[in-house]
Amino acid sequence: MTDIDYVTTYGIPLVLLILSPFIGGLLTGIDRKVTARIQNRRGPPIIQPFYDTIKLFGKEDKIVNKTYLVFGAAYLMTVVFSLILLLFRYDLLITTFIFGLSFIFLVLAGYSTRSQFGYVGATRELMQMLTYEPILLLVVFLIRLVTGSFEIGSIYSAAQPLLYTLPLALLAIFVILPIKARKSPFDIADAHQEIAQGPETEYSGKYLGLLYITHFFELFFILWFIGLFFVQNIAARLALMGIAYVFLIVIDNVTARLRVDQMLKQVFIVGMILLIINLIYIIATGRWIPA
Amino acid sequence: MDGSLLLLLLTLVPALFGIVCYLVPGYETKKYVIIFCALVLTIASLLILYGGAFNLAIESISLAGTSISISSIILVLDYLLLLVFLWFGIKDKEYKAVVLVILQLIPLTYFDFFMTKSSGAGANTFVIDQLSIVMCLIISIIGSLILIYSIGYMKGDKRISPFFLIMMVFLGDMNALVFANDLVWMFFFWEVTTLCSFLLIRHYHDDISIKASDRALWMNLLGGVSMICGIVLIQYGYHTTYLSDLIRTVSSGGLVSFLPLGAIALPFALLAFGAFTKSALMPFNSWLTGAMVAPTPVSALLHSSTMVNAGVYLLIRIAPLVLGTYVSTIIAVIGGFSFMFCALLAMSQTDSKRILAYSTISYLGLIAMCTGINTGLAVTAAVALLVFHAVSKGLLFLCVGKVAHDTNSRDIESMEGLVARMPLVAYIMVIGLISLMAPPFGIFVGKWLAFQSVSTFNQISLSLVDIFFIVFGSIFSVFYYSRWAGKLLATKTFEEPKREHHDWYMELPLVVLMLGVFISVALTTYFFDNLISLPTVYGTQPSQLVLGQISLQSTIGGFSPLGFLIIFMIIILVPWIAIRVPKSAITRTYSCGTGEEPELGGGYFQSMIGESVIFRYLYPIAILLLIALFAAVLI
Repeated sequence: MTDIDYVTTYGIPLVLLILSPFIGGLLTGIDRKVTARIQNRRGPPIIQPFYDTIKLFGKEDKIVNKTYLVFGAAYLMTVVFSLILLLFRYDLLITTFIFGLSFIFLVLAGYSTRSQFGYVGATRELMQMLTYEPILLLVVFLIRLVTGSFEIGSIYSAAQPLLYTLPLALLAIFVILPIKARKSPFDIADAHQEIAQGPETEYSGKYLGLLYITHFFELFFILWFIGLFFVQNIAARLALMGIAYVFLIVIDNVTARLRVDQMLKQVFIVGMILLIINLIYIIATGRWIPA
Repeated sequence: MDGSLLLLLLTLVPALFGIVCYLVPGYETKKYVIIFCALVLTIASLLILYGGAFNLAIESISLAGTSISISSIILVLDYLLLLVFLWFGIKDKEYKAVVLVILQLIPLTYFDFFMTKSSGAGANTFVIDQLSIVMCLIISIIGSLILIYSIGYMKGDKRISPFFLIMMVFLGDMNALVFANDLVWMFFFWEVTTLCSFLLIRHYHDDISIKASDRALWMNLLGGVSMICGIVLIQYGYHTTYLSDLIRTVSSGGLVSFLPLGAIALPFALLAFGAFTKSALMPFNSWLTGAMVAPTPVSALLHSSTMVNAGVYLLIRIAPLVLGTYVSTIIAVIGGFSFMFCALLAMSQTDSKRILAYSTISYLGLIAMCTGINTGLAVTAAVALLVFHAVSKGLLFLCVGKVAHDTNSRDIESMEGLVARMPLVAYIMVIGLISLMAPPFGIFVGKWLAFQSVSTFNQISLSLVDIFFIVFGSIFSVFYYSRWAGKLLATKTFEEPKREHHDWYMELPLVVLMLGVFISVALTTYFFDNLISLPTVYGTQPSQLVLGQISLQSTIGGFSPLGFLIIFMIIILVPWIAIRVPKSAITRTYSCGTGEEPELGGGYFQSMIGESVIFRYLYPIAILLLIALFAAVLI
């Protein structure tokens, strides 16, 4: 393709990037509403997350030290950066690593508060990272096998949607989804009833507001990543993202929090079995593209 | 500048400086000799870089009118060296070493006196190609910095004179090792590194160090046995021991042998075995972790610029010779196995030097894995990782040494909140730690290339397990490095910062190496363009990866180290400058109203992944893999 289609290469990603925190916020609001209805409560209006965030920016700061604020801001910027990479179709492997870097920043922020909750939370965050990153990287590897490249663009130009070749890899992503969205049963690092929001305990005022915004971006990133499994059809893609989100809410409401070791074992066993079966499937049917 | 003069400056002159330094009295005088030596080494290595690749044919040296061939000097020294090992083995009652020395003597004697060798007149005895230059830069520059650092660190030590002598001989010898083209010469230099590391590990002469040094000795001698056998077989099969000729002979398939066709790779499997012992890959890891009893500059030298690099250097050299064989596949699996499980072991450690030791083995495993995958991309990754790892690991060892020197503790639990007590060293250490795990730093570039190369294959084979090794190994390293970096940053809220004790001999190398971490990433594309050149059998060159000056683009993915470095700096520095913390806003951490700041720690899972728990399973597997290496020859 010699002349670049400016609208799809730059226009739509840019619009999505600007909209993403609002979409993420709205989805969070919907989540709270649905959860409340499931629990037979009335629930807040769906734009409540925005009210909360805006209110935080007017609050007084209570700060422990500077380091964790710097890492908190770095966390926000890294998530935004990885979302930019994802939307503008950069290398998928790099995008995944940069998204992982954001968690490293959050962990460093948690440790550097030297609060008991921050410390425990950061350690748990690392354990969670230990759990989901291998699965995610292996999924990226499988995507490379069926599309022939790590470039996101090659997913778009592939003949078949990823869903047809990697159905079990998608299931594996569903398994790690609650970890990335900080939802039950894997909201272990946050665990607000237990360790008071973990690495985020010491944030207050506008810095907590920034973290809220980061979570909006994060949510959008995750759903968009899942959308990559069906890029050929916009309706199917949106449906896939919707199913993932409904799945997330339902699972959040019907499960209780697990311990770290339970999470590690269960996710590894289930995720690895799914991925290996999928790997065998694509190798056996010759659907992989050699170098 | 004349090539042979440069060669002299990089190999023999450091040793001469060492002797001068040994002889001159007084710490002040020694100091200047050491600084001068460091300067000479650095400048000579930069001149080699500037001059580019060249070959030299020096076969003899003229001494007082008579010309003596270097080969015969090396022959004599070889025997002397083995006698020294024998003496130490008997003295320490380390009979494993004695047996191994005798096992070396037999093939060596056979090789020297009973094998017919072609005269090889006019052959290039020293080949200084891109890989040698890169190695020479690592050895000379990082080695020099470690020398300068030692001036501060070793002050007041009882055995300074032999210490610096051996350090300098070591550096010169390593340079000779990477320049040598003849495998026989290389074998000699190889054995000298064994001797130097042996002597340096037993520097303190207490029971633990003597024991550790003996273990290092016999493990490295085992590698030596394997290597000399490999060399004998190479001479037997290919009638040459010159690396540059070997590449030609092997690629044209000129093996004359009564052995089955697969045995073509046997000598190289033996060489690879030698490389594994030197690089301390599993199951030989215990000598390197044991070597932690030595003074920290020694650890830094062994881990970043010399010793262990010799092993992976040899692996990179023989990689094109085993292209497409099963031996190559098994090398990848052995490397990957060490990468993953040593990273796991590092997670269970609290001693900072042991963490670094395991992480060194783990990264060497990664490099070995890349050489085993053996595609153009993978070997590029191996060379890149070698360089970036040397810079970062040298930096971290020197940091740990400084901290241990000032606080008398190597435990990472006691490093909590170090940024308040020793800001300069602690922040440099955090940068060093981040540079070993996170994008966009050098190790990441290497890992990214390695990840790409493991996911690029034409047929399904055993190498599919490599992908699991690299994924889990990377995550494990992220785990222990971030925990450590987090510890350093965890300051108490109302703690009064103490004055830092500065010693510029120790801190200047730290600052230089920290800048080196950034500069090496920024120059990645230049480095790929000019300093890595692969043998033609791979069909690709790293310079083809470079796209438009600042980014790397392979057929399956792209990345721009410099661009991402700039973004990374923005991500950290903008908040650092923008965020203002007013004094009035500072509060204590939330503690549920108890007002206490409890002791924090733990999370090492020693009951699950401690050394004693998992070595039981790892050693048998590692030994089986080594057996598989030789079994692969027969397939």
